[in-house]
Amino acid sequence: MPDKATALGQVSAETIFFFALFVVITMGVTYWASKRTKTAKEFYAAGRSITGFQNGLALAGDYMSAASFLGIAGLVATRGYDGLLFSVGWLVGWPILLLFIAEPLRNLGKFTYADVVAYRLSQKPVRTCASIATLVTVIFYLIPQMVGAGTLIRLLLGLPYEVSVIIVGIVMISYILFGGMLATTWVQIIKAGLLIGGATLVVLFSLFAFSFDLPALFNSVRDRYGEAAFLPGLLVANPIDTISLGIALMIGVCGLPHILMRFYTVPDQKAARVSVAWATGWIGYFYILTFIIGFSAASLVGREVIQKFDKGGNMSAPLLAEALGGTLFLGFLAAVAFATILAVVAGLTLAGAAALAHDFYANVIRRGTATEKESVKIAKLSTLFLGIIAITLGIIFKGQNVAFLVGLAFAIAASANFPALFMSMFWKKFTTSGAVASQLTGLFLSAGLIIISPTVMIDILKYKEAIFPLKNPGIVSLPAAFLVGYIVSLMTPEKRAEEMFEDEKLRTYLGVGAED
Amino acid sequence: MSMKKDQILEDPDFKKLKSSKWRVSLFLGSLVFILYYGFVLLMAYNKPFFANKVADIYVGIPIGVFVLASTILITVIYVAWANNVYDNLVDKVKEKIRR
Repeated sequence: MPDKATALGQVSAETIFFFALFVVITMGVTYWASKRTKTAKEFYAAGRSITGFQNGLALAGDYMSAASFLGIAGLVATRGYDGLLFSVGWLVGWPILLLFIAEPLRNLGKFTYADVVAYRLSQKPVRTCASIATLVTVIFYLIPQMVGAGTLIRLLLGLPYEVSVIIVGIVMISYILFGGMLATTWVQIIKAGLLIGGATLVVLFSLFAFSFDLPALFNSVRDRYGEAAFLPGLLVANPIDTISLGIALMIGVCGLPHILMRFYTVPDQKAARVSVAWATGWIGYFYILTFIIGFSAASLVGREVIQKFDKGGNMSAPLLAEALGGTLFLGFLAAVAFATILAVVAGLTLAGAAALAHDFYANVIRRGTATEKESVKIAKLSTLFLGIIAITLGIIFKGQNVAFLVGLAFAIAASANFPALFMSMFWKKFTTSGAVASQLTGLFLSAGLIIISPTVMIDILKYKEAIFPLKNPGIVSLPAAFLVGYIVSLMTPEKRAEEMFEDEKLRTYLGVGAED
Repeated sequence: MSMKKDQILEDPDFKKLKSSKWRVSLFLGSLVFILYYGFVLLMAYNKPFFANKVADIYVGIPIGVFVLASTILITVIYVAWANNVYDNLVDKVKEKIRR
């Protein structure tokens, strides 16, 4: 099997069929959703009509990017055990989100997490900072997705890079523009189903090849690549680095605007809570599958073949699918990867548009006097604007090493968004100045430190040494944002905010007065 | 309702609801921390341990799956608690507000 020619990178009828089928079905969903998307509540929050189970799948669909599917499988295939540490890191933030954030977030906010940060503070400065932090997070997260989309579709379909990026951009913009959050949610649900179903099929086929003898699969990898495939390797060379990345991943989930926004699509705190448990279950199950896919690819396809296509091993899952089920299966999996990217970029762009239209335009510029119609119109314009930016940046960054931007997006989410959100919800003496200072510290410190870190200075700019020793700034920028928020708040007491904190409690814990 | 807000804030059931929510969240949250950073530190400082085998499988694999599975289990435990205990307290306090 390893030396068999592959259809990867060539236009195959099967692949085009599955791509087209997915686009047609999701456009149908968008048409259906467009009739139910008129008001701001419908556009941003799907009319709060999504159930806990559905939102769980949509959260999983929003979160599991092509990077985690193809990337982790590739990491396991080429490096072995290290990949598992990564997937655990991607999952452990979810219980934290459930235990501390999801329910009060749903109870206190309306459409965005900034609603909660600004709840009892001065709207203008807090929302301005929060929308900047949201946009920066969203754009840093979008760039690798768009670059990945271009590269992936070129590899899978043989379309030129630029064409691929433009297609992804246009399809994604159509979902949001016409179907708002309802269409985006269903695209994410369909994608989650396809991704989990597809990965399950690949695993079943792989295990079938080993007569469902799991140890036999692992032993065949060991016989070929040695015991090292099962031992911690390069990633733990510097434990502080791993811990810093771990903090960014773990807390970052609790500050990602597109994830937080999903909690406004459910009717109440109970549905919000249930949805996180479903999401955690699906994502965890999926990571166990990717782990088996990675080892199966190493055994059945071979590292040499995988790395011929892509050094990072990103093509191991599609190659494994082809080895197991021919061009038909490859085509199906390629379409799944395409769906994965679309669902993630749609969620990101909608969160960015909400920050621009709801936080910045409606509440900062118009100070809450904008009409419903106006707000939706601005949100649609923002979608178009951000969509074009995403396409442009995707083309500009062609061929660049942008994978580190995902880590940066998580670091910013963890340091700029999370501390302000947490303190605003739970600390009585938190003030407007404290919120502004904390958000700006988190934003600029994480972005600044990553520029002088080995990730940028050594890997990209090719310096011999970096000023800041860690690859991810999380371990410094997150505590710094908390500390600055704490000190500045103590220096600038705000009586009104303190009084409102007591009022807020009934809403935080009981959901009394929450937006419906 | 606004008149009674202060009373609700001082209500023993409301206080119980708040403190039990924090107790459960902090307990389960620290479990997540211990599991995850325990796993990271074990990988960082006891690499030879991973060469052991259990039932013909390298121990790292069941350990990793265990961490993933317990992460999921923790969310299930919290939801079970919140659906059965927390929501009852919430209903009880809400009933008092209505009266």
